[in-house]
Amino acid sequence: MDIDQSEISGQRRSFLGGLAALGMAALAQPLIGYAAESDIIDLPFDNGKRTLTSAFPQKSQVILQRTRPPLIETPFDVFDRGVFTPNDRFYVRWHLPNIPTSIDPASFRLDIHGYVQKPVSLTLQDLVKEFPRFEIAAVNQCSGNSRGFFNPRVPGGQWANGAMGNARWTGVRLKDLLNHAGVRSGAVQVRFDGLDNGVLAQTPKFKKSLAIDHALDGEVMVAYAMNGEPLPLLNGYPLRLVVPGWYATYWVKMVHDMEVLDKPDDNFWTSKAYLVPDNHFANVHPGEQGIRQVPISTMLPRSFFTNVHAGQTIHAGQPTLVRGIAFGGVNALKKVQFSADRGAHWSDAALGRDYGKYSFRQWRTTVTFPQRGKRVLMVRATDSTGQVQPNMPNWNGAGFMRNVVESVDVQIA
Amino acid sequence: MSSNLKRIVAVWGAPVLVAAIAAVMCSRYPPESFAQEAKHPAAVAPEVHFSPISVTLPPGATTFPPGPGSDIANANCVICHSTGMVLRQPPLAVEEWKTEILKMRNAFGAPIALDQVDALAKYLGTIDGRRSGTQPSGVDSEAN
Repeated sequence: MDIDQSEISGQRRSFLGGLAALGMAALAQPLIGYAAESDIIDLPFDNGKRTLTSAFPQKSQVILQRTRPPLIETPFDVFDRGVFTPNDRFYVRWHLPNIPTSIDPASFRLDIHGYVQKPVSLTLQDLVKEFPRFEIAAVNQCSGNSRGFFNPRVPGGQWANGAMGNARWTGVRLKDLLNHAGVRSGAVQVRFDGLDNGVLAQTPKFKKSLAIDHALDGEVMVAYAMNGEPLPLLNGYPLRLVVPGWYATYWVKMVHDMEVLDKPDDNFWTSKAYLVPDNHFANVHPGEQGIRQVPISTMLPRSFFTNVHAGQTIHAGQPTLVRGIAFGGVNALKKVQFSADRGAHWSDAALGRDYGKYSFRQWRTTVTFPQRGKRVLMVRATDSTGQVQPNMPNWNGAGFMRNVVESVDVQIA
Repeated sequence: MSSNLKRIVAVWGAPVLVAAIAAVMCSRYPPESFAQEAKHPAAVAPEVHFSPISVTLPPGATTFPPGPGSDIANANCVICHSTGMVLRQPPLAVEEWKTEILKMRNAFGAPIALDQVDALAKYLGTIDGRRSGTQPSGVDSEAN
């Protein structure tokens, strides 16, 4: 017999001021915990054994995917502790190996040039003192987050779901910087360059471009702080681009150069890399040929369980708190729904404090399972345009843009 | 403590504490309108201090597990990246490895001779630790 949906409490309780209250609530209810941290973590796919490492500067207990250039993942239990991802656990993804290991903030300059009225070279103090401060909470998610779950498997960084994080980004609007230099009419794009380099002369420099209207939208920004602190070096110290709602490939780290272009950027990383099938959910059949490809862009809604994991045992007959995080992608999160019966019935989960449309938001519900046996729990997010996570996973050869409804198998005992 | 005194503390304790905190905050942030504050938020919000930073990054493993073709991998792949992510790939077919190698060669400039591509693809398709159910390959899982 399916459980009575009325037992799933979907009442929209306000969270009594957020995280602290959530922590208290967690203590007051049967908490479903994770095993103690160990040095080895098993990501749930073939060849998924990984080391937890603290070998990287300003980082502790993160999942090692690749040492050089660094590729490190946030362990998923971190997302259960709050909607903001701590800087020292925040995932890292670099493309090119020659990353500066010393930064002198006094001599650092941000250059804006190209199709502008007046090229400028700004110090960090200029940014802090001369421009209005701007702050936004936004999810930074790798295009290939969750690639390890693709079936058939595809090459690339074999991430589980932790190639993402949410932070308060503080800095200045890109619009204010570009207006300071004076964008000339006819400009079409702005190209951003970081301080990283390849080893070989033939390796294309990592540069990304945004359309000029997007760059001037008043939300794209240059961040000099992350969760109230200077950025960790591996997250882009001293400056990184923040492109709310867009995949992290555009969030250029250690950004030091902005070139306003009067024709579309044709460099490798903008025009040939990070392409996705030009259809909804970037979805093709394995082996399908002749699909039009376009640069990846805006993020899709996603939701996750954070205090329940596959194979877990939950006591029958006891009210159990189930919770997680969700985000809307480029649109605001409208609702999160929970199913205790493999998607046959859905009920709205209560949502935690809203830190803005681009932020993670906590969801929670309380459920009682009267019957023993196996259960499949599911969670799905819907954005403000009505777009809902798909029941079937997408597939593409690059392993980009996964956003299938999440499910976990649990044992009621 | 007399019950009277207890009652006074119970009634007035919280308001006095709130007033004290407010007084401290106001002494640090002179009161002004929100519109005024918005004009110079940097003066109100805490300063961000930029300090010179110098770090050391772990070097990463540069030696692939031994086997026919490992010399080609050791001579070419590790110029730009450590061995770890290669060894953490799912089981890929030799043809899929060939595609990866040609991408590294053509898009990123890996100096692999064309006549070595097949041998390298075969090596990567057959090295230890790549089949399901096995432990991580013979490589040090700590820092690669």
